[in-house]
Amino acid sequence: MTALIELLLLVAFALVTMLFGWWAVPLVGLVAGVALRKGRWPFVAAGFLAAASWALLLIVSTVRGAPVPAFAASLGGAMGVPGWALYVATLAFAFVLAGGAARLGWAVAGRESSGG
Amino acid sequence: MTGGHENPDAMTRERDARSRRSVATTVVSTLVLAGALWVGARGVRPLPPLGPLLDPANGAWAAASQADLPAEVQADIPGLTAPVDIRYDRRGVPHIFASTQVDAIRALGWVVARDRYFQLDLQSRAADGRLTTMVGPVALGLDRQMHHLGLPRAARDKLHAMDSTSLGGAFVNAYADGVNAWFDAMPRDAVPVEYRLLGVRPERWRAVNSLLLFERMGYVLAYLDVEPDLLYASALVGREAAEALSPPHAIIQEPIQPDGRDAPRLDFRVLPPPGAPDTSASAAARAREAMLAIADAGSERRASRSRDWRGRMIDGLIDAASPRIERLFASNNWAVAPGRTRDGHALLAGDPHLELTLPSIWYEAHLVVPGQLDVYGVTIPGAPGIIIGFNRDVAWTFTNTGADVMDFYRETVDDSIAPARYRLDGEWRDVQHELVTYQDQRGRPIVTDTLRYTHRGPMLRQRGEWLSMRWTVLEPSNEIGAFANAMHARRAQELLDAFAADYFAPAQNMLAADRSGAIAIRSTGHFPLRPGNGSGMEIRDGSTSANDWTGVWPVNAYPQSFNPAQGFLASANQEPIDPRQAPAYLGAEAAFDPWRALQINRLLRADSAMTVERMREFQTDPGSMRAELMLPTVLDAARRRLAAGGDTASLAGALRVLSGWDRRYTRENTGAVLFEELLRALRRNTWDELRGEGRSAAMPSTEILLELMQDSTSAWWDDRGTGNVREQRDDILAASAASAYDSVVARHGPPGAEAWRWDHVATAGMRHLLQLPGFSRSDIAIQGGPGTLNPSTGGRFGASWRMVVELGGDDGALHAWATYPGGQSGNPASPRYDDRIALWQKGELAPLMVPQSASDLGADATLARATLLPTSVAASATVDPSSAAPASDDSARALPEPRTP
Repeated sequence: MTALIELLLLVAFALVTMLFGWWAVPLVGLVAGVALRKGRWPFVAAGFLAAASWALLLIVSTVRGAPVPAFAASLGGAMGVPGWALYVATLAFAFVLAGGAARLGWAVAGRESSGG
Repeated sequence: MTGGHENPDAMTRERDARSRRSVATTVVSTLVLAGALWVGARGVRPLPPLGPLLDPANGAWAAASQADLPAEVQADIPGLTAPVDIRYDRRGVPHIFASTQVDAIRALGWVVARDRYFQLDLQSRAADGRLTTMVGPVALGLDRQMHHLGLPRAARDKLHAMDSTSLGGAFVNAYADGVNAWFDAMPRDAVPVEYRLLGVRPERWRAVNSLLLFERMGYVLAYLDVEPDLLYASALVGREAAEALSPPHAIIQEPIQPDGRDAPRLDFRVLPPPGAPDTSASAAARAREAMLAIADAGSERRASRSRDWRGRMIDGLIDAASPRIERLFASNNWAVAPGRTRDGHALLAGDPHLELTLPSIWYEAHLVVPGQLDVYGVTIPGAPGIIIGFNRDVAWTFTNTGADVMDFYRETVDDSIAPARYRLDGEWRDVQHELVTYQDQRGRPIVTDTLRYTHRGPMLRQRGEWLSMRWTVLEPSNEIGAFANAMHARRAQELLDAFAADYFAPAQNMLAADRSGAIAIRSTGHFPLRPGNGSGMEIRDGSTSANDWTGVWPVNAYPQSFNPAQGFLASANQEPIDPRQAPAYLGAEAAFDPWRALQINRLLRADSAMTVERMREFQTDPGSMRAELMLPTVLDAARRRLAAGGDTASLAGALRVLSGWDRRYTRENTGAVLFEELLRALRRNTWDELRGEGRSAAMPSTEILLELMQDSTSAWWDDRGTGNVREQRDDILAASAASAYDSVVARHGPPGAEAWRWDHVATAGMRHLLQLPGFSRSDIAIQGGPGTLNPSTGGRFGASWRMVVELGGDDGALHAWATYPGGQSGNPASPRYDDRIALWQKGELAPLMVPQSASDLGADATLARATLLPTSVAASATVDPSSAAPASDDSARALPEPRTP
């Protein structure tokens, strides 16, 4: 069951990013915090799922022929950092957005649970 | 074992502690999330907003997914009267097949916006004095400069004056429709990456932006003021000597309008010696320079220097937005009549040299409207038409004329701080005022500025004195109409006449060749008629209208030539007309450059069976008349010094290298590096009199140096630093050669080493518009150097578009080849971003496909296709005079087909 939820969340993170943009990731993160509240580290899991979904988007783009690695190198060159640092920054950003929001969602769900 | 024997108090404490940890973790997580959202939405210096940057679907990464054109796409364009079929060929050139000319221009706006939106937006804001809306107060100096030069106001005035039923007027609006159709439908993942890096949003296109583009071209090509140099030189060596170093005419004559000679003429004089300083000249120079706000913009730019990448990016943007005209800013063109070509067809070569950027200044396109228009060439993003190119009958290209079209007047005003009136012919006249508010990226006002104008043009106060400026770039004109009409020309003369009727600034040497075999050239633009001696090299008294321009040169007085007996025509920024034929002042010697003209004419005279291949080779010919004319004197001087026993190993080494050099700037030669170093040392050692304690005067041109080299005992050779010793020419030449040799050996090792190769020393480069290293291309080894036909090395300028066109006979044959250093796409992730650089580097050209219909372009030759469809939106049909307003109102227009000349 948890695996299915995680799969759905992975897809949700990717979909909302494509449809609405980066700012929708924390919203799914909130939901993830609730949905994964029985897990041991729900916010870490949510963060990893968001990062994985963004990685997936980059991989799909690459598979479809987009010159992602070459562009990472030139964009990194433009910003004075190595290309790999952009991948790290991208995935870390997704992780923080989703993980932070999931922690909030978990806390809210937790209070509801104890109060109920 | 704990089991059920746990202490309830301990459990409570444990629960409380866990609860406290949980609250703390929640608080920390909330803060981290808030921070991430803040950095994502707003950014923290030096980072731009990270959300739009790192979003893998819609952020900077999306540039990679947008790298290739989709094979097929459809789009709606408001105002379109019928579908437009666009076929991109394998070189990424859009061939636009439309039913009406206005539709074709709409489609042109759409394809340019699709590939170059950031470039469109950046250059428009720069010319409009609104760069602060992109990068904040750091651009204030440059924005002020634009406003104080009057460029935004001039663009608005020209748009107001535009006849909406004319071809030009209709084109301006149609172009805005096309650009905005792209903008309005632009998906988030197609927003150019530069916006993500800057953290700003793109702006909608306005009709006035097309006019601003031409104002900006005027700024780039006619922002030429030589008088400060003359005044600074006067302050150091007196007026007579200064004037001799900056004469009103070129001293090497190989004019654009043939003067009946079959060789250049060297009008060498004996230079008067340096005289006593003219103390009043220095103050005057500073006043005039400040009028141009150079110091103002420059100091603010320096203040913005930053160590982080984003600060450097913004500095780069501002540097890129403030080009300076210089001699490397050269261009070549030439045409050969059928009688001197192997195949009996007229040939034309175009080779404009401009700043080399990525994306390039040019965008290649082909417009076809059956029975009305069939024109191919390059446009500048923002221009509603083809700027350089050809139709089925005529080919054309330009070089910059370099005319002096900017004058200054000292005004008498009623209030030295905030004048409301100025004196003219004994009466007070009102000063026109305009209030400008500079805004930051969020639209918040930064500062307000009051602009003042006399009937001549913009005013500026300097040292308690008010000056006004008159400049042809700001005067009424209709350059867009000129291009719109010229694209229809059927003969060379017709094309040049279309330009002469409406094209006034910046003045260009317009060269044309046609199918009938005619070749023609005309330096076209408004050249002021000035009272008195006609010179534009002085500040005039503004209190009398007797000092105003009395008109402009009549077209028949323009430098020009039609089907000359010599069978060829060439221009390369040299003085257009021999002063012995027409002595009127057109511009100062410092604005003209003879070297490339000498080389082109030499090559053209030597070949009476010209071919396309030879025309192409000429564009990167490594020969240098500059080296050929200067080097013998240097070598003779070195030999005499050595023979006289003044031997040094360095001088002997220099002589050995230079005497073995073939005086050509081929990639593998090892002599050019020493010759160029020698010239630098020679200038430094010769013109020591022009170095002041404060600001130094500009070095005289290489032609003046060559002239001086004919006079072995001139007082200019004396080195002021050696006290009672009086040096002569050979002393300075030999010393310069020896020191240059030492310097090159110190830098590159012993002679003959690989490091002496010219292509290791002088390379070309193309900088991204934000000068970001990852998006720029540098260290490109090429053939050519200073004074050659391809002076693209060592700077940011060079051959920006190379084209050769052969117009066949009555069978309608048309053959063209071209390339430019860059690519069609402005997206750094696209293979079309820089795919032409390799060809350009080798000096080769690509054959151009010029299909007459969409079906002529087979599937194997088609890279992608776009179909533009009309949308049913209400129409209006006038040029929008409120140019400052976004063109949203314009974008829904079904214009009637305009008058065609």
